Amino acid sequence: MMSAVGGQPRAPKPAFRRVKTPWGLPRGVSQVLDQWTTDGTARNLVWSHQIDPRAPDLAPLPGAVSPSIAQALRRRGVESLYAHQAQAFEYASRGRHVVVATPTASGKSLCYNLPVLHALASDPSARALYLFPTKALSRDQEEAFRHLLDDAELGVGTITYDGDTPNDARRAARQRAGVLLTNPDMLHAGIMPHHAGWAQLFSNLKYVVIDELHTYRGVFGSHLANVVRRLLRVARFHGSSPTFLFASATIGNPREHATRICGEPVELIEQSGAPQGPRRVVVYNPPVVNAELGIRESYLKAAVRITRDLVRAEVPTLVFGNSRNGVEVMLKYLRDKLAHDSIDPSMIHAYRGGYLPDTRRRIEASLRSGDIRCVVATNALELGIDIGALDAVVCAGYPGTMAGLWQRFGRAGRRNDLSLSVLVSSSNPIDQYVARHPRQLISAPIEHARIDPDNIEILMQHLKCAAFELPFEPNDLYGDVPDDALAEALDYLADHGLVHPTSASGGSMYHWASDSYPANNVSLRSASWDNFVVIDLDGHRTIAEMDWRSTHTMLHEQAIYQHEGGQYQVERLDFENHKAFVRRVQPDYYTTAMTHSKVTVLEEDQASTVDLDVVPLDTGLGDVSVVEKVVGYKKIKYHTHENVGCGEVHLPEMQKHTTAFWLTFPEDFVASQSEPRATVVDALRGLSKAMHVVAAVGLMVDPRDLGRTLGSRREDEGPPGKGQGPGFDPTIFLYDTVAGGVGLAPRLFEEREELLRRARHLIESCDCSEGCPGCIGPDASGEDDVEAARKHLVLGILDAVGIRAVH
Amino acid sequence: MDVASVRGALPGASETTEHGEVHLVDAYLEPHHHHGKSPVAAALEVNVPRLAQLALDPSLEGVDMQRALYLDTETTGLAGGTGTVPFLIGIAWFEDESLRVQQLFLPELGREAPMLHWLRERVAQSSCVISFNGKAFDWPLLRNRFVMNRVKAPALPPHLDLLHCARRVLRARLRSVRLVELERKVLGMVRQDDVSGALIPQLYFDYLDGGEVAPMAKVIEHNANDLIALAALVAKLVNHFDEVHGEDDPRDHLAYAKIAEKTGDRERARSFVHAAVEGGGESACTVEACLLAATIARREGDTDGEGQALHAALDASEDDLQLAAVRLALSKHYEHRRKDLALALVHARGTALAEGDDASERRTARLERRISRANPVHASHSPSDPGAG
Repeated sequence: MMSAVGGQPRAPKPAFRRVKTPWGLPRGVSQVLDQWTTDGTARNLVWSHQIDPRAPDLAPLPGAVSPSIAQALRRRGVESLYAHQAQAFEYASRGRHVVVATPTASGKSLCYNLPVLHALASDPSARALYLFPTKALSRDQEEAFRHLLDDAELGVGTITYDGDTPNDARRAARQRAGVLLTNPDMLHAGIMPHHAGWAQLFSNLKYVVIDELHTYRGVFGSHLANVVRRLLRVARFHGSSPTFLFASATIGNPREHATRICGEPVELIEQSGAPQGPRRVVVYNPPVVNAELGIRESYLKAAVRITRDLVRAEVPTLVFGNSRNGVEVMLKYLRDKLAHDSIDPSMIHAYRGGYLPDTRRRIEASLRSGDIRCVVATNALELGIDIGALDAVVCAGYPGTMAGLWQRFGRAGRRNDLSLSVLVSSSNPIDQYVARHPRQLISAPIEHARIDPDNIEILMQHLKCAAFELPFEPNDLYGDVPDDALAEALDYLADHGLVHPTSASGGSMYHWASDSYPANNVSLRSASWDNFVVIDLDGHRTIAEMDWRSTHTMLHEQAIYQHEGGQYQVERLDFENHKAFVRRVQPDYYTTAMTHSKVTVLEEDQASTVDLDVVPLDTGLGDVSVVEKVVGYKKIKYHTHENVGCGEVHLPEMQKHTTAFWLTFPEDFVASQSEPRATVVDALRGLSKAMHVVAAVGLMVDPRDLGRTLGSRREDEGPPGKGQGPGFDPTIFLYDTVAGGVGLAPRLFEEREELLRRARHLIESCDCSEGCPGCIGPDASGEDDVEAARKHLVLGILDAVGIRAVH
Repeated sequence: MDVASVRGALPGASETTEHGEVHLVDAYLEPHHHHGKSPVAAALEVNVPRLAQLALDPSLEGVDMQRALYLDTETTGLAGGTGTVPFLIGIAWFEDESLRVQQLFLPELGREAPMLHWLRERVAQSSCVISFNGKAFDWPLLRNRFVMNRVKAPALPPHLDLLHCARRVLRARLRSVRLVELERKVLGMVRQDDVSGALIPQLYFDYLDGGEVAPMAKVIEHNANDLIALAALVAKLVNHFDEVHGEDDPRDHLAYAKIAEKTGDRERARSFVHAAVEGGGESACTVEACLLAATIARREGDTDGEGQALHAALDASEDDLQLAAVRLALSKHYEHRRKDLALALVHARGTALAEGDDASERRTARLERRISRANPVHASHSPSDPGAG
């Protein structure tokens, strides 16, 4: 949220370029809603909810603010503050840490910028450190903040310090920059290990601003919390104790999360004083096209129809897809459809993380100016890049979490007029669960951002970095890690020759004693930081970048890589040098990768049984290795979505260690069932799908954070094929997809019986007869004659192990 | 039990200072000490303005070599950053004609402050610091240590980093300008039983963990040798710049000529360039020396001299790349100084390898245009025909 605009109504929205619009079509959100009631679209609106408008709650500029700052703000149309901005200033002035968790476009950045400006105006030697999760965001903010500093006539510099900062600017950054903007990775590996050279910054550090707090969850968040522990240690050494200012999008636990990150109590501001027009939130569940199999119309196509109606009615619209592929497919369909209405295809644009920075800037500017009427995006826009608020948001598919959904919905919202948010549910089980219980969207609690700063693997990595930065003295503090645990960890490092203990008064001192630079071996992000570049062989130019993990599924050889509405085929993937060479093609299909994952138990921490006096099932919790491999791809025909072929992929495996919960059905139990073995195994796979749905919903986590597979606990046994080879005990694994785990599997282990009961309830309450994508998934056994019994079989298995429904 | 008796005794002794204990190895060299074949005390006699010129650093112009401080550290790693500790700080300076070598050894991590104070006081008495790669490595590291140990850092006097000088003078001849290479090839000194620099951090960690003293004594000796080499090297590099030494390699002469040219010392540049051309050796060196001679002549307005030098370069050229570079210079020479467009064009036809196809074609076309304007009757004749001019 770059907008520094506070308490003023925004300038009138720019008029869209008038293009030929079919005569008589409706214009504006209300008219589109009316149209949907008459054309039958409304029949599939399973929920429609109105959120009332909110009047602005204003507060005067604090008297302490210097006239030059007040003038700089007035120049931006800010005469007074919103109440939450004034509150943030008040807390910050008293040195209280504060987290601002108000909606998108409510002027959050002024909540931290104003206290920082004030501090710089009062004390020219004061310093502030801003952390953004991405380089792009800090670059965006630098420009806006620099203008603000200039207008406020503060003679201090601001600089972005990241891998792209030139050497001479680095020197200036160390000595003079009043405000340093960077990312956690650079702070961790580039700044803190050299903190002696940054004495100006660390000895005068007044504020640490952490924006986009909600993005620091899971492993990344656990790393950040440790980086902050190190930061505080270094700041203490240089004699400062900074105040933390956090900004976060909607999450369930902003105060708790901020507190865990900085290790001290934090004040919470979540009531926005910004005005808000009325908002309509609807859920559209696409019509069923095959009642027996419970198959619905493609949600991508449905989202395209909904969006087309909005764009034709001149409603500026943002469409979110959950995958890059989905985004490009929708973009192509939308352009095709709107071409019939003579709407210029260039008014519809894609926006995603893989785009090069220049392209992204251009799109943002065009959207603000009105040259682009509709943007189709992955979640890149969630990261606060400023396009202002739009009239309508269409989410193609549930993003996996309530928080994620509301962060996307938050993009719709005018100050005065009616805005519209639409969720188009896909046929995947979680989406169908939401479509069946849409009220949960407002009544259920929002997901919590979870981190575990004391995860031993992460903690040890950062203790090494911390020892490199400053020797540990007796009674040294490292966050809130207890003294004895800290001493034990340091002794462990000493045993491995990484630190050298010496006796000092009051205990031991530990000095770094290795010729390595530990921060280089610690990556804050679970995925590799190292991107692949996509090179167009015809144009000999780089058209995009992609992260390492996505490369496996999107840039394997023969893949159709979709970019800005065009199709390219990957001709060669140079895995070693991180390059993919593509050539423009015009196929009538796109590709999706098929991934195979295998779980191997490394160490069982806890074992138990689900024993309800019938057939006891072994269940356990422990460390596992998860190996994922892209084994092939399918060709999917555009528009019909038929599967028109497939191919093999040869890429290295991706391996990680994490924690898993498992449930084993003994071989003799499988054999005792009346159905063939293959059918039983397929039914168990169906059961695992249902368990995955209820687990994700019950834990309030993104389903992608929870992996699922059916396999064997013993490593020497291959994954079950179609049930040919007998002799293994089918095991359902549910695991943390985040390497190292963030504590989901242990909670499933604790509530294992409840989990099974809820899975049963989900299956029983589903309207389908034989299993559908909304519960146990469609039949995959390939044996037609047993199909009808499938859902019945799963319930029979649950009966056999004594699991009754909750009610 | 006395630990030292088991581990062996570390060279040097503990000194008590007002800031705490310092482990000091203190030694004097004989006034006539030679490092290899090179007299160490020669460093006192160097022509100081020449030294400043060699270093491209005017702040060294008036330094008193009697008060120069030679500095070299041994560290717990090469990574830099606050976790890298200089466990041995070697300093040396001349007392009369004797080099005094003092080495401050850190017997235990965490006891740096007294040695930093010691260093600070010594730096404060010195006219300049002379190091090898100290600008990028030793000094930034020491500056960090002052911050980390809350000792006020001394103001750094002018700093002569011999790595940069050695690179400028010797890189054309020696691929590697590491100090041990320079010692062997420039100072004629071969160390016996020296420790490899890469092993030094681990040797120190072994020592901290109660290992033997002998390897540490080797490290201390290694550091002392580095300091002595610095003094010998400064004399060698400066003296051979102060006067042409005919027996030196022509590549060294050429390198010195370039430095002299860069600092506006044309006379010295001419002497060295002459020595480089006369010295023979590889054509690349001769051609480059001739081209430099031509540049110097041009700057002085000596058109004949420039022409002679360029033709000498042409004669010396052995491959197409050298030829192209020389012909480019000749084309410019004939076009701009001699106003002989025809000859300029002759040479312009062979410049593509030096300036690229496009630039070469533009040059040729421009010359053809100028020739046809100046002499329309013969415009259709080949301009390279001597009759056309």
